[in-house]
Amino acid sequence: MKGNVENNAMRDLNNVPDNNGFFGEFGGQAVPEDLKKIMDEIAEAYKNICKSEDFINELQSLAKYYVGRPSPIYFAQRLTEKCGGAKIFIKREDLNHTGAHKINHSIGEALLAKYMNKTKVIAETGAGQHGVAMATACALVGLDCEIHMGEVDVIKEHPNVTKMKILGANVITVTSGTKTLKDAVDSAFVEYLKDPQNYFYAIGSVVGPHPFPMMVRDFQSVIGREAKEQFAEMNNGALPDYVVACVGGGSNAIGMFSGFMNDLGVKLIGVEPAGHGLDTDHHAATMTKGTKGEIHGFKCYVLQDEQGEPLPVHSIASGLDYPGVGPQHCLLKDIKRAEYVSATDKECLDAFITLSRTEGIIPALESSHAIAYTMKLAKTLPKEATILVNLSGRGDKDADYVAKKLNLI
Amino acid sequence: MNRVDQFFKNNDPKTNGKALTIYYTCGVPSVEKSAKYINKLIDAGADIVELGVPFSDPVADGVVIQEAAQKALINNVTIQDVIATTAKIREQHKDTPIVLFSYYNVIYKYGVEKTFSEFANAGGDAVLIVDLPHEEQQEIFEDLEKHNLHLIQLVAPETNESRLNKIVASAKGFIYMVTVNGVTGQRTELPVDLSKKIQKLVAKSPVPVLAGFGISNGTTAKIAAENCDGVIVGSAIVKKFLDSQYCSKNSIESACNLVKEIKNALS
Repeated sequence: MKGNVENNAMRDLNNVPDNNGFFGEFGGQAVPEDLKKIMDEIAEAYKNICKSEDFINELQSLAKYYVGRPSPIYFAQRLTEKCGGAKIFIKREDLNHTGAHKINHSIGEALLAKYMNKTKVIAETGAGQHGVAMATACALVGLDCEIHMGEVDVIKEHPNVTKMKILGANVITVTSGTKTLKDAVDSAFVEYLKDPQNYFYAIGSVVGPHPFPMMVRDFQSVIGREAKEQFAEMNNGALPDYVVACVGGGSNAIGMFSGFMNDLGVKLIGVEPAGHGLDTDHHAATMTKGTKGEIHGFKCYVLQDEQGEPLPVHSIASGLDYPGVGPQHCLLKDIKRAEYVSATDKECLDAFITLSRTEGIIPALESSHAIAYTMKLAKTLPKEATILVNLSGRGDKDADYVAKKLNLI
Repeated sequence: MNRVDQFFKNNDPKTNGKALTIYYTCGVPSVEKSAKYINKLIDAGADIVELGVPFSDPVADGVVIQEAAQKALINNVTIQDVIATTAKIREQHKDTPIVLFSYYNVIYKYGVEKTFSEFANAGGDAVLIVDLPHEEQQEIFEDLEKHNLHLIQLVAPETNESRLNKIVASAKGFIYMVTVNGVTGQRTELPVDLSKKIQKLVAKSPVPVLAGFGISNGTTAKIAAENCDGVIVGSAIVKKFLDSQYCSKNSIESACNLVKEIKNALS
């Protein structure tokens, strides 16, 4: 009986979110009245435009000839041997143009903005990855681009600031509040609300009010679609036993998971940042330690204090450093379709070095969380088992930081 | 009868002027002073008080109220403090309507029923939850009714006809008409087509309509209130209490003068 109930819930996964943007009890549009209408307009425009042949053709053509899709799946033989268990396959999103999966939804959002006749795209960025991807996409489709970034991050992530400027983006340094991602979001919002008819706010993950969690997922679902086909081709039609991806806001993970959502034999695992450890105050493991709440216009699990204020979060990977998480992940957790685990900063650094030295692939610190758990999991599984892990980005941006941290230079 | 309804029933615009609602971020410059200052602002002429619960991510608010919220949070101001402040205002002003102005997460986390029950016991009259759109309000109506609290509805310049009808149908107390797109904060002028939009809303609304966002002095207040029942002033007042860290006698005096100026313009 229980199985049936769960199966029904699974079947519904094809149809989330509902018309109000809810994934079960998560998501929605927790926004002020004037923003509500704008979000509805974007949802409506997206619904129409994403079905139009012109849009689909242009997006597919850019994915192929500009981004370089499909990104390959690679069998990591030496890493598999080192772990001594399940076979490890890596989906190489790090090989995309600009070096990460973020370009998938950035091009989608920029194109949508163009089709909606918007004149300027506004976005926030933490480490600068979404900012660079957005600046790239705007240069590509010919739209003005304004990136809001906290002063702390502007200093820390200076190479990305330089890149955004070279790409023609106007980078706004945010000096209010804690001068980091959260304040960049608030600042970008204020600018956006000045002229929402002509501006487009391009959210950087599967978070925020409806339709963004749905839209960004749809643009990222190319990862899962490709991966399923490629994996089957390499394995006589079989599917992987496990699919693993890192989760901050959750965009690369949801993109990957969406390809396997209805294949109930495939176990989906999201890896969150445990920072200094789950029993400390220095982590960003929202699904593991958070409680139900609302942040930035949507309902989800939130790392928050008793007053409902978001807590300061920490991860060695800036891209995972967020006190909320995509609403669809919250649903997947509650109905037990996906499992959410975590990896510490230390495990992440070990994985960063191990993958670099066994396979010659330098992973982003974000993606290293997924690699870290994959290595741990592989050891516990028989040799015929298979794990497909999403390598969401490359680690060039983190190389100096890690080298210094490990006294390599 | 709910004090909001009582106020509008008794208020004669010809003698007392149109309604002036003030917004005040609780906890600025401190919890103790909030109650004291709000009581003075009521004495200066404020008719209704919106008591703001500080929140770290106030998506509807401009820089002034963001900064005020941040200062209040540094002072560790909680929703319990806001409720205690309500009681202190109520001690001195038996009839002044008090509206709890909050983002939903704070209420949700503290407990919806608990918040409403404690706020009503402290002498509160209505609740305005800025990020709970009409579609998602169903879940709190029962608890509101149980404690005889009104839910204040917001209408934006771009709210379309069908939504407007739904919002108006569930309106109680008064409707908060947002005068400009964007976040709260002072503007030098108001949009030209504002009066048409206000007239349209007033014609439909079963309750009084107050205009807010961007009203900073007597002149803008007079224009905004021309076709409705009064105004809401927030940032212009809160700003007075941010100018210096140890906000002085000057702040409250200057805020009281602003209240008097606006109230005069509404008379």
